[in-house]
Amino acid sequence: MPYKIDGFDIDGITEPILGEGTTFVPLANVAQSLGGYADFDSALKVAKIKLGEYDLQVQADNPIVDINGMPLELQAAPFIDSDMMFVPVRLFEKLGYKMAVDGSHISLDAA
Amino acid sequence: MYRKFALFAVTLSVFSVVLMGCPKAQEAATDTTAAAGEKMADAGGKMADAGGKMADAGGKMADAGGKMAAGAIDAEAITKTINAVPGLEGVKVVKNDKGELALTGTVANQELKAKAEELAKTAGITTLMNKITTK
Repeated sequence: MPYKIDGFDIDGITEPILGEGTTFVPLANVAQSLGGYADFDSALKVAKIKLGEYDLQVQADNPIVDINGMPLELQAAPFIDSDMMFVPVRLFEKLGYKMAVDGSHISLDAA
Repeated sequence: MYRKFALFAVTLSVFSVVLMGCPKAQEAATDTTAAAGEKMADAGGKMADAGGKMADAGGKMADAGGKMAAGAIDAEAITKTINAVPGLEGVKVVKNDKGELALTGTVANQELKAKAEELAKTAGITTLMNKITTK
């Protein structure tokens, strides 16, 4: 099981994808597992996430994400695969979560 | 005449002594007030400490209560109850190392996610994290 979130083994989340020197995770699934809400506009290829105090707007193929109205550059651009948006897992670290990646195993915990 | 002068001198001496004693009395009074203030501050600090300890103890009792409640929950039985509802077949009640409970799995939409949480609460889980994802 690749994901451990807040100490829980989480199944049902699409496997992470390795590429461009980073690990990409499905944004909506991971945000929901952290207690957030996700909305995806497949026509515009934009995901809107509400996670705790943060409102994120993430667009496919654009490494700049909007966090509470402030731009943040990711180390790689998000992309869409199987109608799901994948983002570098380090995005969640920027949002204050403690992250550990060991191969394809990912742990995220509220700091 | 001499007696009057002597009486005047004595009165003057007494008055001088009283005047000289006033600042000392004031100093003494100030010292006493400051000492009393410090003692009150100390007492206040001790009361605050005691209050903090009581709050800590309350927090620990709440934690213990939460863990006892989580320990008493039959996660498997509740999972089966939830899985009996169409659309919630993939939902699980799981426990982490801290004894906290969460719902995991994937469902079709937000309504089913909320339904699973409602069922878990009806079954007696008062505190749990909803980590269900939607397709």
